[in-house]
Amino acid sequence: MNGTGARTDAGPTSPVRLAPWFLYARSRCLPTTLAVLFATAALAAWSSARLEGLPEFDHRARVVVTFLAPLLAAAAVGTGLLTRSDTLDRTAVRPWWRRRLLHLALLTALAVALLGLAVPGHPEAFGAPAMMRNTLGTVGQAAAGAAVLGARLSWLPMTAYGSAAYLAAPRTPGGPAAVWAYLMQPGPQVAAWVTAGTVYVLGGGLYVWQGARTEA
Amino acid sequence: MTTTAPGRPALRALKAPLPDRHSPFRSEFLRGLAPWTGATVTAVLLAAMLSKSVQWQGSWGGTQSLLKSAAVLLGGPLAVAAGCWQGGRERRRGTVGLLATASRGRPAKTLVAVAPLTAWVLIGYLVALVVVLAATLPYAHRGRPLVSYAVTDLTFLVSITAVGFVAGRLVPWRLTAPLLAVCAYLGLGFPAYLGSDLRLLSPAEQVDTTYVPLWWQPLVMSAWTGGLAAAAFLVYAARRRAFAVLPLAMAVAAGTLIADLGPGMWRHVPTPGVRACGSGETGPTVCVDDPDRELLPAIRAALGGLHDRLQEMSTPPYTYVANNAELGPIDVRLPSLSRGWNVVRDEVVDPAAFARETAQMLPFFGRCSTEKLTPAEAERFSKLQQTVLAWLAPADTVLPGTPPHGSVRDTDLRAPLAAMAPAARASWLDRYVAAARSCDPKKMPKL
Repeated sequence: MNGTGARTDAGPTSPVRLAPWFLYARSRCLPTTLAVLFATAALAAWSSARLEGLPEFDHRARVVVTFLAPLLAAAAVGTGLLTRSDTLDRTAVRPWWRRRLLHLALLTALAVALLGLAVPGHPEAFGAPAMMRNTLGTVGQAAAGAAVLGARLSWLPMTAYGSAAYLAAPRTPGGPAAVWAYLMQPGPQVAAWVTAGTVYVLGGGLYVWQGARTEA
Repeated sequence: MTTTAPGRPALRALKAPLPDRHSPFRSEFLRGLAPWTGATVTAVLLAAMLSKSVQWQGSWGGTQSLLKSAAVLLGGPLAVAAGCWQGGRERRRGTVGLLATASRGRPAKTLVAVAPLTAWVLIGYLVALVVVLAATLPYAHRGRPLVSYAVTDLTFLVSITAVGFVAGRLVPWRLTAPLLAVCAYLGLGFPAYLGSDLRLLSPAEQVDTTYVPLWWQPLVMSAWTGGLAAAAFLVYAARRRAFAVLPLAMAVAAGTLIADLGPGMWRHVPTPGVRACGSGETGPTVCVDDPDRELLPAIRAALGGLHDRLQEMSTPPYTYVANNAELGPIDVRLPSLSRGWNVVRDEVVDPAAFARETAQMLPFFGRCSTEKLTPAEAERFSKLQQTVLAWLAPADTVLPGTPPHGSVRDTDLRAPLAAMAPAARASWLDRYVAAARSCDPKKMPKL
C-alpha cells in the first residue's frame, strides 16, 4: 500500500483548519449572544430616548430601562455559558478556568460598555452608572445561576429577584435598600456599587471555578 | 392435581396492574417544574404585597387592585416563562421522538403536559389571595372582596401559561423563556402609558378603586385573554386547526367591546350617608361615615389636645365631621380619611399632623382675603395665625420661612403663648378669634 492509498482510506481531509478560538466561539453560540447584546443595547437606547421625550416624564422614567436591559443582557450572557460537550470538555488536559474567565470577562465588559452608552446624560439618576452597575450585578447573578442551576436556567434567579426588588424597593434611595435592592438605586449610592461588585466577583468566581452545571 | 398451561403465568403477569401506575397528570403535578412554579408565584406575590402592606391593608378595593397588578405584572411574566420552559422540555431532553411515538393524540399529550403547571400557577395565586384577604379582614370595613378580580386574574394566568407553553414548543432557543418574560412585562405594563381606553385591554389596568366592575366585566375580560390563549393553543395542538378561529373571533369581539366601553364596564359606588358619632364626657365629638366607625377612638385621641386647648377659650364646643357630611355652624371638617396615607390599620399615622390639619379647618382661620389688607397687615395676620395654630395643635415641624426671617420652629412659635398665665392666654385668644372673625387688623391683639 502506498501513501496515496492510505490517504484515500482515511477519507477526504478538510482543506481549512479552523482556529481553536473560532471553534470555541461557535460551540458557545457566541455570535447569537453578541447579536442579542447589541440588539438589547439598541433597544435600550431607543426606549430610554422615547421615555425621556414623553410628556410628563423626565430622565427618571429610564428606571424601567436600567432595570430590564441588564436583565436581558445578563440572560443572554448566562444562557450563552451552556456547553453541549461538558463531559468531554472536562477530560481536556488544559485547565478550562482561564477560558471561562476570559469568556465571562469579555462578555461582561462588552455588555457593560454597550449598555452604558445606551443611556446618555443625567448620570445621577438612572443614567450610565446605574446601567453599568446593574449589568455587572445581574451578569454576576446569571453566572452564579449557571454554576448552580445550569446555563439554560441561569436567568431564573436574577429575574425572580429583580422583579421582586422592582416592586418592593422603597422610593427613597439609599439605606438598607441600597444593598438588597441595588438594581433600583438611581446611581451614586456606594453600597449599591459594592453589592453589585461583590455579587459579580462571587458569582463570576463560582462559574470560573466550577463551570456551568452539567445538564442532561 | 392440575397443571397450568405453560403460557398462563406470563399472561397473568401481563394482565396484573403495573406496580407504579399513576396517571401522567399525577406525575407531572407532583414532580418537576410545576410545584416550584406555584411556590414561586406565591412567594413573589406575597413579597411584593408585603412591602406595600401599609397601602392596601385597609380596603378590599386597594388589596385586590394591588394584587391584580402584582399578579399580572409579576405573575404573568413568571407564568409565561415557566410555560415556555415546560414546553421546551422534550426538546432539551431529546425525547421529542419518544413523545411522538406515544399512542395518545396531540391534544391529550399537550394538555397533560400543560395542565399540571397551570394548576400550580393557580394554586400559587389562590394561596397569595387568601393570605392578603385574611390580612385585610381586620381593617377593612367598607364593601367586600369581589370575585370578579380573582376570576379575571385566574383566567389571565391560565392563558399566559398556555401561550408560554406553545411558544416553548415552537421556538427552539435558549433565550425564549427570559425574552418572553421581559416582553410580557413590557406588553402588559406599557398600556398604562396610553391615555385612551385602549389601556384597559391590559389585564393589569383598572379604574379607580371607588368603582366596582359590573357583573359581566370579568366574563368579557376572560373572553379576551382566554380567547387569545385558546386560539394559540388550538393552532398548536388541535387536530383541526381551523377550530382556532372560534376563540379568536371571541377574543376579537371581547377586545372590541373593552376598547369601546372602557370605564363603562365599572360603576361608581356611592358612600353611604349614614354617620357614626363618638363623644364622651371628656374629649371632642367626632362624626364619620358609618363604615369608618372603628376609627373614632383613634381620631378622638388625636384631637384630644386640640379639644382641651379650645376649651380654655369661649368658642363653642366644635363637632368634627368627616368629609362627605354637610357642615353645621359649629362643625369642623376633618381631613380626608385616606387609608394607606393618614390612616393605616385603623390608626391615625401621625396624630399631631392630623390635629394640625384639623385645626386649620377651624372656622375662624383663613376668613380674610389678603387683598383687603396691606402687606404688613397681611403678614402680621399670617404670623399670628401660625402662632395660634402652633399653640392649638403643636407639631414638631419647621416652617420654611422667607429669607429675612429664616425658617421658624414650631416650639419657638408657640413659646409666647405657652408662657402666659391661663386666664391671660384665654382672653388673648378670644380677642384674636374676634379679630380674625371680623377680619379687622386694628383689633388684633399684640403678642
